[in-house]
Amino acid sequence: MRQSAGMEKNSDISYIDKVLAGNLNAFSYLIDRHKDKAFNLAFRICGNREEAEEIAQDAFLKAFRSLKDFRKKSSFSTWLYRIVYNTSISLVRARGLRVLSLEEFPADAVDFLSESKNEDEAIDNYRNSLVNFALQKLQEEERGLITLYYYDDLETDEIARITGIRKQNIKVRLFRARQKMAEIIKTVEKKNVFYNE
Amino acid sequence: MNKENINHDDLLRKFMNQGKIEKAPEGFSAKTMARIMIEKQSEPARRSFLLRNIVPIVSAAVTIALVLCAIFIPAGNNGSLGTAVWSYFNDIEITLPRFDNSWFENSAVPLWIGYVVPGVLILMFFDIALNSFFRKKDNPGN
Repeated sequence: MRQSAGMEKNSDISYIDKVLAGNLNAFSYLIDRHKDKAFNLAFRICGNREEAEEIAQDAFLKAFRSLKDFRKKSSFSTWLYRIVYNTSISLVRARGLRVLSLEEFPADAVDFLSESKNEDEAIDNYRNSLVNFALQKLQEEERGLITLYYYDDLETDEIARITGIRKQNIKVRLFRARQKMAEIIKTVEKKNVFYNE
Repeated sequence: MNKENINHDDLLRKFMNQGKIEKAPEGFSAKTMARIMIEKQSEPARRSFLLRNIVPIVSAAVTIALVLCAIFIPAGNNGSLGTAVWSYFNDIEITLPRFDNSWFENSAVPLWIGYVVPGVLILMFFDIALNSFFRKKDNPGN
């Protein structure tokens, strides 16, 4: 597993070298490899697909512009996620905080069942919507931490490098964010017959 | 981790994992590469060091010239270089416009206002002119 991560890093670096040598198409390989995680991080922080796409594209563009300054000691993904994280946080702060109420969650279970192929898919869609809803009730930095920790399964050291927050602070903030999210999820679940079946 | 925190952690892991990430929309890579290609094509040709740093270079040159003049032009106008430079400047015949300041003398407005206001206006004019000139150079597309 560790060997494959190392191979991935070396492979990224070899494509970066190709881009720096003038082969622009080599950058499309880096986009293909990292686009989903970059998009997911942006989406979970800003909560909007269109804005997330814009942020992820901007992040790749910024990365391309600064590729010559990239220090190959760290991995390309860490560097890219740092750009995505900072861009997303800036955008959300500029847009202003929108406070959602618990009533805004679409708790009608029939909606999930009618829009899904089967019950398993309906449960997945329901959970995904509930997670997005709960994330939007957190502060923007907490959304980023939760995403990097649970979706990307990163260690706190790596999260510290991406967010620029100290490792000890990350643990404290993750604890609080986890608590808040769990409370929101439990509150919504209590109201929802579908999930309690 | 205490027991409550472990429960919260388990709950969130049930809802969120790597298999459930939101995937980038169709055509994302192509759109991003198109933006990169457009940017690359519209990138201005690399300018020389002299052109890129024209403002600080000119400023430094003028400052050095003024400092040298201040050092080499003696107060009594003696000395070969000083005399030469001083006589050169003396030979330039510039007629500064004279304006009728009797209105200021007769009014309650202090006399120096008559010099400060045109000075500010001249500086403003230069500021606007230089600003538009250098902005145009930095953004050739605009």
